[in-house]
Amino acid sequence: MRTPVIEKLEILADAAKYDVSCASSGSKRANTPTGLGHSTGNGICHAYTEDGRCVSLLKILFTNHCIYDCAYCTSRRSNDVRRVAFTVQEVVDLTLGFYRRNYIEGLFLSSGIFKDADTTTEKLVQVAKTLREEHQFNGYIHLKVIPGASDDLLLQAGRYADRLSVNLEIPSEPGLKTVAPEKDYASALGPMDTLRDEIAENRAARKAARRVTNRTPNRVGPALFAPGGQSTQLVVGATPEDDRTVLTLADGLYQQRGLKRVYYSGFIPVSEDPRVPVLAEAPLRREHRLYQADWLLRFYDFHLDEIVDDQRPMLDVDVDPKTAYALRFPHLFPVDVNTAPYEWLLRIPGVGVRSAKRILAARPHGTVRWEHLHAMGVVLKRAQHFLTVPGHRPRLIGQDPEAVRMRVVGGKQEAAGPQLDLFARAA
Amino acid sequence: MTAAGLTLYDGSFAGWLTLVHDTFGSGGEAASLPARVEVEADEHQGGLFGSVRLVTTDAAKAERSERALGRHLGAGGVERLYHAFLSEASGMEADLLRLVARVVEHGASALDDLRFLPALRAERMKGRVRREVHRMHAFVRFEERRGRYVAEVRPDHNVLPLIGDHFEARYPALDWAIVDVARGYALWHTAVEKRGDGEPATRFVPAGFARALPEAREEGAYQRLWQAYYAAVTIPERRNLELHRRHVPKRYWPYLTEKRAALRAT
Repeated sequence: MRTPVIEKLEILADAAKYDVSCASSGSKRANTPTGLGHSTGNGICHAYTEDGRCVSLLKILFTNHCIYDCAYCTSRRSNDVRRVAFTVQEVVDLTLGFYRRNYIEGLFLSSGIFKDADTTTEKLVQVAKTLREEHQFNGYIHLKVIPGASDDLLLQAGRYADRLSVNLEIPSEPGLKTVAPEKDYASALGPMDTLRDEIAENRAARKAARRVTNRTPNRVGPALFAPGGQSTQLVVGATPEDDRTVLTLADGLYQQRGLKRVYYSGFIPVSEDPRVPVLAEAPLRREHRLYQADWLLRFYDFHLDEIVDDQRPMLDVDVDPKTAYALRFPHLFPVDVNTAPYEWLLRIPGVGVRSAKRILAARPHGTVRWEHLHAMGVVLKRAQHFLTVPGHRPRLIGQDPEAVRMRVVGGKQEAAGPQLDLFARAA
Repeated sequence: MTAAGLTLYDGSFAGWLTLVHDTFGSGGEAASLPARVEVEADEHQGGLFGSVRLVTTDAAKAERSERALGRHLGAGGVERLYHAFLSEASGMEADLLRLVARVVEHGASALDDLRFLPALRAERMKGRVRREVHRMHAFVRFEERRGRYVAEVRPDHNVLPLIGDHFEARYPALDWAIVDVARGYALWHTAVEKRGDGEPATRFVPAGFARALPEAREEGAYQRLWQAYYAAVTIPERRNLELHRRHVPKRYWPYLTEKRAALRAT
């Protein structure tokens, strides 16, 4: 008896949601005159879930059949769940039907591994190929790469996808082995390296072609290869690695492997398994701090050891990493808003990239004063202790950083949540 | 120096540009800036407002103003004024006139000096209009009707003129329409193969054009699939309704397929 598409969709969308990668940005893909869809490069959140997450893509597994038994995964083979699979045509129809209604920016297609990595990857590539070639679909496609997939399939996947990702899942190989003994880092890092090289080569070739022809990238010159780059996911809290290990790995992935994004997913126990901890709640604050630290590395020009080091291997849970930095180096503050260079405006807690740029733009017109800061987007509750303008010179940061911390946190220290209690193993 | 009384115009950007022409166009003379500029409406009849000046929109004057502004501000600067204008914020027309006066005196960078109140207001409203444009890109939900994909929206600001390009680039081969239900008009797009020579892809029509079309057969199925998908992707352990409503304010819910069920429940 055939399972109705709506039931397959409920099961395979539910199973896919633990891959938190959600972006539809980072890829500019022009439409054709009679085609369907385009990508502006900015990404669009068409809907938001009740937990506040952006829904940008149709994110599904092709199937939740899986030969592996990873402790953190809801679809692991020893878990007693209903197993279903889409057909290529069903996924294509869903994508097109949703896209025409402006529900989605495109498709995010992952899968459990049935038979082997190549058989699975082939199906995913077939979906993407059908959308692009049979239906002139130019919306966003993110394809998962199954660890261990052959290079030949990787190259095909890159021809049709905007972004590719292969998940490392656990922030260290020994950690990975404790929860997924059949997996290893090599089968994920290998494809990452192949993709890094292909993507870089393609980008250079397109740039050279643009200089010659000066036309839109995907109409002349070499075809696109994963123009949105690659990303990965790290599950945080299922295994004992500290934030320093996580961020060192992420920093390396950005610098050496050219990844566009690393996603951090707070571990949510999805079934009883003695290999992973029993958590009262998902480590959401820790995950939040990791994202903030990630932003400091990528957009605020912070060096890794300014955020975490041997003495402080875990991020501060009560304050954001930029404030934590300022509290550790109070002698560097307050920063003079009217004279400091851009890099130092960025280091003021409560001043983001946009505010820093607005301050710079306003300076030539005259002195920036306290009453202008709020309009520029500065979060004064925090920033007031760390910046100086005429008439406002904070003294507390020089005298008593602890008192500043108390004020920023709001005067009450929340008790460290269960995510910091290490590992009450199930009996 | 501001003029007393009330200046009325027809509410269009061309009308405002005509006013710009009349205020600044005398060449060299420091004109007096109108203090109150409003869109002409029924309430203005009957002589309650003292001296009332009526601006008659003139395409030639408007074009000259736009070109002059372009010389001072560049295309990007004029667009900032246009976007602030579309906010329909109270007093914006007069604020923008003061801003133009500043630009004439100090140059284009006056737009960035947020210490000057009209510049701050224009910047704020421009920001709101652009955010509303992004929201429309995100929240427009088409329904397949017989022969056309139709969406109904109720944007805070008059953004229909700003969203046509995006949807035209995305769906060139489809017939579609986006209806602003509060303002009573719609963007009407004709599929590329159906267009006559030189026919524009989109035009503005009264809202009623789209109302009459009946629903297509498969539409209900796709809406149910979307609602099922939306329900399946929530992670209950991370539920945060305050954050959710900040992203999707309740006023948009009647026009979002996935929220209509939630609205019926409340």
